[in-house]
Amino acid sequence: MDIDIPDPTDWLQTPIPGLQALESSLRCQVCKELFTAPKVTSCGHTFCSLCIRRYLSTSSKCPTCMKPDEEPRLRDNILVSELVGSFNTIRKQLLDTLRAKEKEKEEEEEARRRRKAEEEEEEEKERVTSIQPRAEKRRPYDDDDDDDIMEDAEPIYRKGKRPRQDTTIAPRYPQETGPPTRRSTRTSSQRTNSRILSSQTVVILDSDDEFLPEEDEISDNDDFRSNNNHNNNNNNNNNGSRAKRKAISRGVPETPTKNSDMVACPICTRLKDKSKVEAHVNRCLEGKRSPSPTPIKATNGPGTPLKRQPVSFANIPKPQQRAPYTDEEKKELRLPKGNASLTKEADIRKKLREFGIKYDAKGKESKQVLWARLQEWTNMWNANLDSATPKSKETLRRELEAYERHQSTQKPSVVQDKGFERDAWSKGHRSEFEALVAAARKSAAARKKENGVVEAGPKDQQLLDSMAGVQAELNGIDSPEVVEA
Amino acid sequence: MAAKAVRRLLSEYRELINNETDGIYAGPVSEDNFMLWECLIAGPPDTPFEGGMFSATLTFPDDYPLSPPTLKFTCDILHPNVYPDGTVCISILHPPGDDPNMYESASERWSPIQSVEKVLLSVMSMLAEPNDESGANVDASKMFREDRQQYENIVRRYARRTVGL
Repeated sequence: MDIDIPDPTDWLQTPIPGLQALESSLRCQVCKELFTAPKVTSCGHTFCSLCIRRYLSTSSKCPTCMKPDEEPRLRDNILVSELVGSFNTIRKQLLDTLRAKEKEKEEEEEARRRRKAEEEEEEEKERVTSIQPRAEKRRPYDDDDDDDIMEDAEPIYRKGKRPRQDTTIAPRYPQETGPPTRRSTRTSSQRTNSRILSSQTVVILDSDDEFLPEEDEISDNDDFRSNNNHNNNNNNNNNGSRAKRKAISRGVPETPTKNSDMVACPICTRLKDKSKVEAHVNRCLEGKRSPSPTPIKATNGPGTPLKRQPVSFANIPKPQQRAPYTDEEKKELRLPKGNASLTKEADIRKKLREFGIKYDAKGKESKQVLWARLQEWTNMWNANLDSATPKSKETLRRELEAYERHQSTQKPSVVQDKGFERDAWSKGHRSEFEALVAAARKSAAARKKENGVVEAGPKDQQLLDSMAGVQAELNGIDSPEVVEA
Repeated sequence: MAAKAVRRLLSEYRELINNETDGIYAGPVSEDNFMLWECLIAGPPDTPFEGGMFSATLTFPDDYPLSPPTLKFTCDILHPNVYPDGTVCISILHPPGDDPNMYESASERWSPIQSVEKVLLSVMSMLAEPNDESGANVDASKMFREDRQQYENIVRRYARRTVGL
């Protein structure tokens, strides 16, 4: 189950972990998602419209402070809605930028550490050589110095470059696949070159021709030579920001992954992270070759809350969006909650029919079930009125069905003593149940005789059936002869 | 599995791993069933439970977080508020509607804003401070009240057993 669920803890790995608190407060405490159509209770707590409506229909209290509250007193929280909208627009971009920054910082730190270690090594070597009595001491100082650096500089390139490619560069561009391409090696080596050079001071530059060709291809060398002294820093920056931009535009996660975790997509043969390959294959199958490179569409202004990003289970084509409901429409369309005991079953059916909601026409569903369905529909409908991007009636109906499917596995709550043992009870009273069924059967037969066959009320039959059902259930066995009778 | 409940559980799970709380470890048993979690609760220090690692299962209902999960210890444990079968009886796991003991205030009951982390923390403090007035395990309550020494000895023995001693 590798669904990427955005979460406030994402910010903990960035340079600004405090953003976690900010995002937490933009999330509903019930569903833990960013607010959808936020509503504020009379005690001042904010929840998603649907979450609070659902909760209030089971208990009329605020989930946070338990103060009594009811649905009609809920108010729109416009400010929070705007906040969530603008936060959602920048979230991904902000996260990617901060992660890239963190990564860069780590890389720099790593490079600095490595450099320091090498410098120490160098010093150590120098000390060792200076202790030994040397004839070279006679040579002019700067010549000697130059040579020394030259000798040491070469291994630095080797050390500095090779591990880098394996650990950091390759996973950063997982799309660039197959044999690690020329292109990427070149740019990366170029970057490392220039970075190391800039820090190693400029001394080497005059004599680079001597060693560079062995290090890299000629073209690299050309590139390299064009980097003048004063250009060096500049270039470095460019490279850095280019890399950052790349990382952002691709939306590549910055966590380093090993090459062994990469799997080739069977359709486009691109290397993908194992955990992401499934989603990627789905996208490929749908013909969307490259995942959209622009992460955020800035079409919505800061004022309009964005629709929440759908989970990437499947890319369901979205039906046409309608504009948010106006206040007048809301007032007119808002459904009242009603009262279960004051509403007749027939009325519930009528209402369900009006809304086009399925129910069992043969009346096999109890009033309780029908009422629960109507309540859930009312909740969904009213929450949809609050939404900035209302769904169609058809979508709502589908969602209601899905919701009920998920709930149906639950057993209906039965009021029962804690220590009550159903099986023992039914076994112990078996004879009494049987006697009752027999008596009912007898009286039904007697009445039948009395009134003639025609008038044998269906009610009696129904009663018999239900009694037989009770007995069968209690005994845990099917007793077909009873039902037939 | 209810999609909504699973999403919320995923998000709680991420929060638990990224933001670890001392003494509490919890996670789904398998990827196929996110509604069943396994958890480990460390015995709180300065109590007879200290040093123990108590394993338990958390079962979430389909309408989570509207309804609370149930917590059941899978190891031997003696505690006034734990039924002999391991089920934990604690106010935060009771929905506001039903009050088996008739005295809990509504504020300490389950509400959708509670979370796995808060439940486990409450269980930890329950271990430290048993409530012998609403005994789920009557024998344990009695022992706790009348023979504290024996109670603590048994608890210590069970605690050692949880870490294989």
